[in-house]
Formats: sequence, C-alpha cells, structure tokens
Amino acid sequence: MHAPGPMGHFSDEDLMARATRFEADALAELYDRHSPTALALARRMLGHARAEDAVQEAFTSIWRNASSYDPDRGLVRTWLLRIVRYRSLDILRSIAVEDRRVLEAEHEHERAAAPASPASEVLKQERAAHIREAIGALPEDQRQVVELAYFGGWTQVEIAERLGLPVGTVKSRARLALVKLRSQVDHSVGPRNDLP
Amino acid sequence: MTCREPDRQDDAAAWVLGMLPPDEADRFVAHTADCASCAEEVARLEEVSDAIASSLDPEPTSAGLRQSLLEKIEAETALFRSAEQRDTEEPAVVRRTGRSVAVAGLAALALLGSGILVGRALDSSEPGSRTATVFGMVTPSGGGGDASAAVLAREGVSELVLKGLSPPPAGQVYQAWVVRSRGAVPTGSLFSVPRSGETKVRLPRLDDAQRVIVTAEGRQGSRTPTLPAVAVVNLAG
Repeated sequence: MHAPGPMGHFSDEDLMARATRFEADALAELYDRHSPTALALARRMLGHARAEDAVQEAFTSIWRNASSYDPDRGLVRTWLLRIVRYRSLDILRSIAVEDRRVLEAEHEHERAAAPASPASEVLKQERAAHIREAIGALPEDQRQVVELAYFGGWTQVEIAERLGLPVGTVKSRARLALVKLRSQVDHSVGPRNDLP
Repeated sequence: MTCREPDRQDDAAAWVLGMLPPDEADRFVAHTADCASCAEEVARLEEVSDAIASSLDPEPTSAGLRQSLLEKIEAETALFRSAEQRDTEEPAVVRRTGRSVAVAGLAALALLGSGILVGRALDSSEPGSRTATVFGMVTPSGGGGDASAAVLAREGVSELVLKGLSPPPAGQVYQAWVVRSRGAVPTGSLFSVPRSGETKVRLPRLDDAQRVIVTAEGRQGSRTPTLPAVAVVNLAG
C-alpha cells in the first residue's frame, strides 16, 4: 500500500471532483491508489513493453476527461480500470497477430512461475482471490474463451477459428462463464468501496 | 421482462467481453436502447468484467512512470490555463466559411509532440447558433493548423461541424459525446473523416449540455470516453 499523500484522506469521488479543477495532487493520489492494479491489468493484456504506455495514456485521459466521470454509473476505480482495459484493447488490436500470440505465451510462462498470492492480506484481496479462484474453477473450455476475449482482445470469429468451434458455441461458452462468475461475484466477501 | 430475441443474451456476454465484431456490436447497442432486459443483462455482466480487472494482483509501478505522468499533466494544465487567459483577453477572429458556419481562426501550439489547437468560435450569423469556445487537438500526423470545431443549433437541431480533423487512427472511429453535469453521454454518432476534411455530426438536444467532445474509440464505439478528446467545444449556453 502506498504512503498517503497530502490528499490521502479524500475519497476517490472527492479526488475526481478536484481533478476537474486541475488539481494535480488529486490525480497523483488517484494514481498512487490505483496504478498498481491498472498496471497489472495492462501487463496482463499487453506484456511488459507496452503496459506502462497504456497506463500513462489512461491516466492522462482521466485527467483530461475528469468531468465526464459519473458517480451514479460506478466507482472511480471501476471507471478507471475500464479505461485502462479499453486502451489496452485498442493497442492490442493495432499490433500483429503473431505479436499477440507471443504476449499470450509470455503470460503463460509468468503464470507458471508466479508465487501464490498471500492469502490473508486484507479483505479486499480476499475478494480478489475469490474471483480468481472462480475463474480458475470454470470449465477449461469456458475459461479459455473468457481469457482469449477479455485479456487477449480476440473477436468471437478469431476465437472460433483458433478453437475450431462454431461462433455460436464460442458465444454460448462466454455467456455460461460470465453467468457462473456473476454468481461468484454475488457471493464474494469483502468491501466494495474503493478506498485504499 | 424478457428479450423477444433469444440470441441476444449471448450477445450481451460477447459485448461485455468485447468480442463482437463492430457491425454486430453496433446492432446490439441499438437493440439495448429499446430492450430493458438486455440492458439489465449487460449491467449485470459488466460487474463480472469489472471484478475480473479488480481481482488482479497489484504490481509495483516505476517512479519514472509517475514522474512522467505528473510532468505531462502539469505541462498541459499550464498550457490550458494560458490558452484560457488568452481566450479571455483576445477577441476572436471570425471568418465565414461556406453557407452558414463561422469559425474562429485557431492558434496552434506545440505540446509534448502533439499539436494542440486552442481558439474561440463565434457564430453570430446564424439565428439560434451558440457561442462556443473551441479547444481542439490534432494528432501529430494531422499537421492540422486549420482544424476547427463548432456546434450549431438551429430550429432545435444541433450539429457539430469539424474541419481539418485528421482521420482517426487505424482501426478506430471518432465518437461524439455530449457532456452534461452527470457525465459524458454517447451520442451514438460514430464517424470518420471524409476526403474533404469537413464532417457534420448530428447531435441530440443540448439544453443542459456543458460541452461536446470527440474521442477516437474502437470501431464499435464505447460507452465511456477512453481516450483524450481530440476536439472539445465548450457551450457557453
């Protein structure tokens, strides 16, 4: 966890309001809170080389478009991670298919070598671990579709070609997987606020 | 409430995962505008998508990335404040282009390798048109010293007029947004830039709008702006 800065006592929503008034310290605090997860997402999708670019572009976009954040539509953290993911998807789709396959291989290698996550840090991490467990518990054919689409940025047609399946089957598996994960999200433990 | 088109539930999951091709994504988005069942399904499944992102183990970020980001936004803020001040102090140069659009000349400034265009548009020739301050940005490849943007509202119909905007990056389209007090609302207008360089985009009612912005997005568009605006028209009301 990062050391609190001068705006460490503000909620994310307060910080967004300050960002709309061009208070750079507010963005710095948001960055300190959320960039580690943002970077993890971008790295999972893009690998080392491009992840920092995606994170920087996403936070720059948040700064420029702070007034477009709508608290009624979700948490700041959620909005921010969506922007990181959309930006990463754009980057993914602009690079060659062969390079995207290399990224997947890189991730598989890292995942095999990664140590287990500490199980008892904080409640928020318990919830995260719960979601990861739920993804890992999906039937392999469903997990594969979700990972190719969500992290790999492949379209349903591309996934169908890769797996040798009809597009309809790919879509059905995607839905079955999300519905199962949805029930796990409902039952997951831990806070849903976005304070650090 | 149940959707009358049974295959649409699979589309909801595919859309949330971002795997629908652009044309199907467009059709699905249009469908959700009229189908509460599918809109609710999307909202439910988006919570899963958000949870997946949040579940990743945080990774340490480099001090260099933080420093670089903060320097960038501070430089932009200084430039923006400078442009605002100039905008207040210097009256706009108004020129008439074509039948109805009068757009200010724009001053080009350099920023971090991108071209930034800041200026003021004033259309006093059209009844019902709105005074607008233009804050437009072009990509480095645009070279757009002549880029401009203005919003015209006539007889209840509003239109965004863009001139000299660079084409969107490969694989992307431009998307227009109306920013209200509650945030940016997608207009559903996805567009590219024709050879003439002039684009007109039909807008919804602007009664309580604060500004109109344009961003480059993936080919199926987006529900929230994901990239910096390439054009911002502040509506003076």
